[in-house]
Amino acid sequence: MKPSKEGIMMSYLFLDPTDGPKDSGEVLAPRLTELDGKVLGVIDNSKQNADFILQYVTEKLQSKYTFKNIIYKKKSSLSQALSDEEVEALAKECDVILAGVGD
Amino acid sequence: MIPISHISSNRIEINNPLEAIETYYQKGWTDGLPVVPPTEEKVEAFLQTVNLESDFALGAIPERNRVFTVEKVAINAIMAGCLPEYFPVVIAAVQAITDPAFGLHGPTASTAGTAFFVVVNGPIANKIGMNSGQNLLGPGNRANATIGRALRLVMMNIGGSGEFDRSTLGNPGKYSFCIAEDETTEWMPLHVQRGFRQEDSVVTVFAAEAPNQVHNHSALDAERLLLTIADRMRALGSMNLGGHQEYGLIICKEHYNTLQQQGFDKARVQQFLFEQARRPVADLKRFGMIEGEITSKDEEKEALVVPSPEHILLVVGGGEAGRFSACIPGWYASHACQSVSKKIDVSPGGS
Repeated sequence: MKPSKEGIMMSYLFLDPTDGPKDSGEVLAPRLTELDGKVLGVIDNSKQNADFILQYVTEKLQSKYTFKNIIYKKKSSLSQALSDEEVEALAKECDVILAGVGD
Repeated sequence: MIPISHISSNRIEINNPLEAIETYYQKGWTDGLPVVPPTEEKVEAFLQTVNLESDFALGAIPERNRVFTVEKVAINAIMAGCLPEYFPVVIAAVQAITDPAFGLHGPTASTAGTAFFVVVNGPIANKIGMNSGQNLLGPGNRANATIGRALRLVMMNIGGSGEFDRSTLGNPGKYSFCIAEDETTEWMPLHVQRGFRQEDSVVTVFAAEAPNQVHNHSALDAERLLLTIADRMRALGSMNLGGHQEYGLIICKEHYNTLQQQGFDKARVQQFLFEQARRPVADLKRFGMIEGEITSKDEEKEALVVPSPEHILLVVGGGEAGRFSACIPGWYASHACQSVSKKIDVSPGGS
């Protein structure tokens, strides 16, 4: 309880229960201005039909751009993130990543 | 000299607690029910029950960059109506859901709308007055109600539920779904089955669908009783028919008596249900759960409810009268989300 100047209890102090996302310190990779000649990474979240959706989008992209290579990665579990090693490998090999949720 | 507080949360100046309840509603900080307005003094009382600093990170949801600190969990536990002596249970439960094996992001984002089914075992359950008996899944017990509720508020106010919870229906257990196991029986309590000592206090959390009562008031034969339960377990439309997830089961006291008198212990019940809770893959095709023509092999091939007997989380509880047990299907598959048990660390200053 917060006392007034006269010493009379006038109000209370209650606490904020919320906490937002922490700043991970990560920054976005530089944005690409073109896709031709780039390496495309595709992350399949392993949900049903994710492969169909991603294949469709990949084909659409391929009809417009010529990729140097396409690396396809399927998560072992829809609920678990890729391992740090897998993420590092993709970051090293790919210029751009396509990810999405199928269901 | 006024000591410098180590509580870092923002303070909100409000004229009185009743007004605070309304303010917390307006800010979207409740689960729809009134909350206890949290004060610094109350947080200090909660911190006294655990050997942890207020800024200690109990766990996180990495996919959301969300971190659960002791202080924020305490504030939400107070709001839920917890008493300080419940706090070690809440702490252990938060550690359980943030264990990587639990895969917290998935079940709390999924359209399936799962709840946290919380089971408390060991001496602390009696010490803080938890209910393991009559009206076990109903209202009326402060510890059961508020420990479960605290987890939900933690998810809503810290875990990012507002952005990420995409439940189609949710389930009533998302308000609170917390019990103590009745450990007065001859059967091995859940925590002992999972490798803890009888005298340990342990919390187990399972991402679960709503409980579904199953009754058989007539069968005096143990196997027929269990076949009734197995029939409910293998219902179409359950995620468990993928055969990769755990399954919660509360056996009521009358059912327990029948089973125990006829030589069934927990392990034998689990084995029996593992063998019986399954159905032909042809059924899954018949109802369109799996696409494709039904072949003769599909009539013989079996879809399992659980991949092993140990995947049945079996607890005893409920009132002395009545032959109503409860089936509690799980979420998706255990490689994505496993139940997790954590020992409750009761400090000398605590319970």
